[in-house]
Amino acid sequence: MNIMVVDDELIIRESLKGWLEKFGYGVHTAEDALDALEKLERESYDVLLVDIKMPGMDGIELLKKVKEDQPDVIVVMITAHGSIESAIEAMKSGARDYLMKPFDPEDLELLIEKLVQTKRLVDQNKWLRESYEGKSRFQDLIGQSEAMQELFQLIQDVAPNDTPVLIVGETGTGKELVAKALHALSPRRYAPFVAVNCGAFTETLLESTLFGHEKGAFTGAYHMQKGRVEMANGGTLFLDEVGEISPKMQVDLLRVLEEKKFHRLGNPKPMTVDFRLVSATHSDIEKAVLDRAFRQDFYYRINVITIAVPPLRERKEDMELLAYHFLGRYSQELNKNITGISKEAMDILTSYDWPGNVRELENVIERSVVIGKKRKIAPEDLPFQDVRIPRKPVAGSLEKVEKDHISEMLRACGWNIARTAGLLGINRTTLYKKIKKYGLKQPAS
Amino acid sequence: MRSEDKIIAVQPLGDVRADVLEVIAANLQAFFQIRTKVFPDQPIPDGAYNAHRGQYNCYPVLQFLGTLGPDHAIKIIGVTEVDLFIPILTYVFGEAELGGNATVISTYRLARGKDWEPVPSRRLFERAAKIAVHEMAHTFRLPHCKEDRCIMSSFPVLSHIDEKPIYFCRYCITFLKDEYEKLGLA
Repeated sequence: MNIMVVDDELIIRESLKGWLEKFGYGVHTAEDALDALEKLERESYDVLLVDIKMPGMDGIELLKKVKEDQPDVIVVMITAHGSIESAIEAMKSGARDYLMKPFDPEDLELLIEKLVQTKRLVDQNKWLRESYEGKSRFQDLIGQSEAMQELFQLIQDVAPNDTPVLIVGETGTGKELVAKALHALSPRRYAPFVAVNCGAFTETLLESTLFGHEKGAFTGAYHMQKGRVEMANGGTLFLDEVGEISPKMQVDLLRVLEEKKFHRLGNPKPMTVDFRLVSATHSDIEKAVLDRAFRQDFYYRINVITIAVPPLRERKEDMELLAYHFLGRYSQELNKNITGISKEAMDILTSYDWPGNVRELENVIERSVVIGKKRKIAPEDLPFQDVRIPRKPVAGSLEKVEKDHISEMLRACGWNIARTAGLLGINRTTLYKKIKKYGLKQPAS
Repeated sequence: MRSEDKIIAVQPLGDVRADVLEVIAANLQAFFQIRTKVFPDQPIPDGAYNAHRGQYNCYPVLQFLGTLGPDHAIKIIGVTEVDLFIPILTYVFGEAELGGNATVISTYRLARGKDWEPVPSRRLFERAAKIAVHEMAHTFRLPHCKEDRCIMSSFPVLSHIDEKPIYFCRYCITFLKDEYEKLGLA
């Protein structure tokens, strides 16, 4: 048990420290509330023994601050100037107990025994909470909201079959993680999971990427190259941004899906292949089908089962869980001792609409861990100071909302492409594409 | 100097019963396997008295004890009949700093029963021996022990002292041996 004694009197601090050390506890001392808060920023404590009457910030104020930031810390108030009023106030503000100094040796021992038991309960609660959070993890997906729990169940039901699945959801919602979960829970899990981002290739390049090519099949084909379809044999082929596939490629892929055969470019001999197809899209394919921009037969072939991944703004109850998950990951990766998120910072995270979804949240937390100096992420660590946070639902189509948001972010970041892309949780190439798509122009300065 | 030349100094502070000092010296010698020697009494330092509390503060006493004793005294134990306290507690039977050289114990409360009546000498001897061994062990860096029957478990009230045998559990013996090795006493 790690204890901090906060008292302005040196003799009390040292006396209590010496007494507690004989019980084998790790004890630190602080001479005032600010000293205590600084120490709390740097190290974790289980118990704080706080004198009520101290110069500057008094013990009650310190207690309130501690309870706000670290509710699991057990605080016991001590005073030589005790009164019933301050005792009641302390207990109301979350103090575990209240003692008047000097203490009766038996009382102090009983108190310490009680604190050890309380600490055990706190640890047990934490463990139970973490066990409960275990239910909110499914493969690499995280969420305790009803929407995510339903998603986990659906993945579990669908995974064992070979049925093609179409995953729909906004950018950054975790569609690839859903695809990986489907693969991991399927009988094909020991064979490869091969992902192709269809939106990242031109038609010709996508064809070569998917089907491979023989040496000399086209200019620059110096070596035989296996395609992703071939690589996925026995496993799962994940076509991300399937809505971006050209009509010609849709025909080719449809044939592969129907006949389970394909051939490398430059080789007329067909090869048999066996894979499960999982596709994903952030665009409205149904509309594209109606507009005849997407083949209906291909659509029906890839979309036997649809799995919709909810956007982050529709599952804000998962915000804290997700934020702490990323905080834990990046604190460890970046070797930073940042263990919490202040209430104010969490309020900001919760009120933001997250157009870039979980990916954007991940970027924001990573950035905050990089620049954070305290044990908790504070509002100033978040990249939102100069960005207006939309707090109300915005009317309009998804495209209009996206256009407006990108425009707003570009303006707020002074058209710094890297920073805007970072905030949006997308890469710079995608941002350039979207700027072009929406015809956004940097205003003349 | 050879380790067998080292001693534990037993230092009466003010008037202290000679038989009590003998019992303390004999028990410390038996338990710590270090020779003990009772020295002539010394007055308790004036600065230790707290008129508001009517008790003596252990810290100035421990400081004072640190200045006493011959060079070959590896530890010193002060024994007094006055009531002792440390600033956070209403009273103490004794006090020692973990790993320090000096300790002090008081027979003031040990000599009395539940209703403040004097206890038979045998009971006083037993209590004084237990407190002396317990506090002296703190100076050898032994913290409080969770083993109820161990002399190093905590005993804030007299009834607890009477219930415990004068015995070190196997963990405390191990820790004590470790400390002896560090101090070159093994």
